[in-house]
Amino acid sequence: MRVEQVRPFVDSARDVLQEVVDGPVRAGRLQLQATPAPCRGVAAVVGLAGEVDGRVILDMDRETALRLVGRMHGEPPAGLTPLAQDTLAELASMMAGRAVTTLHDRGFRLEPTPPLLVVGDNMTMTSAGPALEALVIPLSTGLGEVVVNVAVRMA
Amino acid sequence: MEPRNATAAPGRTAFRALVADDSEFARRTAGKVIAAMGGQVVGEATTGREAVERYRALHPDLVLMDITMPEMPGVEAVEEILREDPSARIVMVTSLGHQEIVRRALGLGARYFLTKPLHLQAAAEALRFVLEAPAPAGAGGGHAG
Repeated sequence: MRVEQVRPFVDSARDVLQEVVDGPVRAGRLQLQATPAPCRGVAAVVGLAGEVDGRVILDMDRETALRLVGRMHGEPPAGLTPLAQDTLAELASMMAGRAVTTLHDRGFRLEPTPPLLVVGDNMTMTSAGPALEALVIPLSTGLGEVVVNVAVRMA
Repeated sequence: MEPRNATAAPGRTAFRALVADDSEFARRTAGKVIAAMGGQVVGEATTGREAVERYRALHPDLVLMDITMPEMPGVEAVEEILREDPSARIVMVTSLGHQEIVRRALGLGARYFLTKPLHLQAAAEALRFVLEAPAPAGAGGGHAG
């Protein structure tokens, strides 16, 4: 995993969250984590396919997810409704889109898959195929913590 | 079709818009921008194919078109709409700022592109610019459908 391929996802997640939260987003300590990756309860997953493949996960607890959706809509949601889930998926899509654009500019050809939202307790995420080491970085926002979990490799 | 600039409120423009995006959140966000400008969302589409059909039926003044949609990508819908109505005002809206796709859409005749998340004021300014700009040369003056 190369930093130049991972960094755009962390930067884009921070930038998109800053715009959504309309406030500062502080990055915590970066860690390497072997898969399977534990999830906090709500995970928005975007796959990556092309010269670089892998996946990126925005992982957060349910309360943070609901606060983010509430901020994006301007009113609190009535739970993780289909619209709330669509909103979180769109958040992940925006983040992945920006990162992919940056990687395109650097000469890497890849496409993001449509976002997938996974909701549940005590979940872990496992990559199919060879185990991928993930880079994990918590982003602290005024609405709660969102963990960016990126695992990529040259195809 | 209602004429553009029909409202008296300063800075607001009456227009009819079609919003094509497979995300309900994205459609709602676009709808807020359009409403704030004094426009009306007269139709929504969740696929490129549906966008083409809704355009034929509604002849909106403006189309907001997502690039990545199921069935038919937004850029193909743009091509089809502009083939039938070269004067169509289409604005691409995308979280994928893929330069090649955006360039292709603009080359086909899309008037502008916006990147998600939409910011109300900036998006409204861009849409107002598109609505007020004259049709490009060769675009014709009316709807073909």
